[in-house]
Amino acid sequence: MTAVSAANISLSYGNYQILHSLTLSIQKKSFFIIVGPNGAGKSTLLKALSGSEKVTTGTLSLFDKPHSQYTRQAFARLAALVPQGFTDNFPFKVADTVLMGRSPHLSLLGREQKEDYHIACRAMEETDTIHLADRSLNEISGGEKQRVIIARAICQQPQIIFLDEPTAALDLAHQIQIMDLLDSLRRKKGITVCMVSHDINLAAMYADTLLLLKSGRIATSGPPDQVLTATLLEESYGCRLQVDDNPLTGTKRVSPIPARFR
Amino acid sequence: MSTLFTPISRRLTIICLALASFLALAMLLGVSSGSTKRTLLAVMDLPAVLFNRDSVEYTIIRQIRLPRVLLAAMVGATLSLGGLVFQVLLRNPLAEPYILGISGGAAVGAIGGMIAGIPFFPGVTASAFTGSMATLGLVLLLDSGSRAKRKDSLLLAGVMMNAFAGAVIMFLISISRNSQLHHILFWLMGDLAMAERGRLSLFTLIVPCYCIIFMLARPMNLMVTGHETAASLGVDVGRISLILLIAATFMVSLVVCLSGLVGFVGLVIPHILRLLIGPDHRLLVPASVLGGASYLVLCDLLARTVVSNGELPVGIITAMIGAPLFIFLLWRAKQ
Repeated sequence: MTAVSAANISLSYGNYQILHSLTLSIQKKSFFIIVGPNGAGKSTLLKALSGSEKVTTGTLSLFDKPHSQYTRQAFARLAALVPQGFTDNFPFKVADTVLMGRSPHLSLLGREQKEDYHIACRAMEETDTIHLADRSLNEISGGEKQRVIIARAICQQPQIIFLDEPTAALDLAHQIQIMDLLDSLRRKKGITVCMVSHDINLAAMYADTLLLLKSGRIATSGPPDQVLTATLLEESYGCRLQVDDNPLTGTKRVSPIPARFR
Repeated sequence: MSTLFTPISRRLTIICLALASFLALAMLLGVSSGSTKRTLLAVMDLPAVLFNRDSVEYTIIRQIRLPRVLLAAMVGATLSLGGLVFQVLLRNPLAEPYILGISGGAAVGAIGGMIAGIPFFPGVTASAFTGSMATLGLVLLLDSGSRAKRKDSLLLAGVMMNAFAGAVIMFLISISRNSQLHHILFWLMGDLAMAERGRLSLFTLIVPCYCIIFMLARPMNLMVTGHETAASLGVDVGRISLILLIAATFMVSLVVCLSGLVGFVGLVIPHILRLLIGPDHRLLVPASVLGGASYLVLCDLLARTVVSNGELPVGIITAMIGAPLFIFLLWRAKQ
């Protein structure tokens, strides 16, 4: 069963075309990572797949049902989004932010019940943010904030989570922590994970399917070992790269080559 | 674990009770003081005041002060809630109907109506609503002109619309007959002296707006965290924004017709309340209504009593408190 399928989707802002007729599908319970150089249209593709940006042409479906047949609320019960960056002009408490994940399950005037508080608490425990519950969002660090937003997504109890560069601007320990968390969500709860990442090495260690995007077109897509070849990557990124095997994990390892070694 | 979350209904009850008693106190104070000293004690003897039609106190309180205090409460509540709604819609804590030029647009419409001599309701109010919707449309158009959104482009557009509305108002005043001049000028600065029974009945049109906005309080919480996030949490951002926009603009233009340009209430009150009770709109919406009402009743009390002969337009008091606060907030945001 496919979680997401896209047929010939294109997306333009005015005269400026970002995505050029892409066709792809994401299997249920897979860890799907979109990689590619700056400006390739990765975030835009994620926005299209997660339904937050309308495609100009083409059709998209979520769990074998076209986007157009969902109401916003029904869509939100199945798919959660962890956007890049976060505005905190109106700082909510961490606990209240996580609890917002229950919204798609409530009616307009509905109030959260005990059950909802339990779900929010469990989401905070899983993301190791429960000790922050009483703090305001603008009082915590970037890594903590990212975990809080992921907790909100978990609280939404979705079937699929879309994430836009969740590890950007995090240190190594927090990067691994977030990726491990997403991996365990996939294994334990069968949640499909679809994310955009700048970090090819992290992507290689966790993804079961990679999609390499270049100038709004799919350069290649498939298992990491197939996608991460020196020729394909050098052509997409436009620089010399060294690709070898990570001795510990056996996955591909990509390193840029400094000028003096070329 | 349940200590992490305080159920919303309990906090709502506490906050509403506290603010409602504060409002009651403010109104009592407003009713009992004025240019004649004698009624301060008479208010304590309420039954006599309210039901003895022959007493002087009855006339003063029932016919002059009570309508005025009620009008002040209604105007304050509406402007404060209007400010809150615009802050959500624009995701900018500095937004406010007066600053965005929406009040100005309504004033242009209302003055145009007054000079044309059409009846107050529905004539002047409808023309005020048209004026404010047109201004709002222009402000949003100016703001959305560039794809690269700058946060202050909206405030700038509002400032320009305000300047333009000001020019149009001055033009209309210059061509109007002398007899209307004093009246319009006073009204422009925010004037609660026109309280009449008939106009108070417009409140029946405003209360439904409060209810609609209160019903949308949870989506409002999600919308301030970003439109993309709100949409991903199931909010139909476009539709909700439109409903909020129309409800807020409608009630604000009605209030502008009643009281003229009373500025900064929508900035001061939601800001203070956010500091006191946090950013949850399910609490902020009712609190803004009660808090704004109390605030304007007290400001009006000041306006009536601070100068020994006559009174000030209440807009002067609110601007003297609000404008410095706005500058302070802007300065702090820059830090």
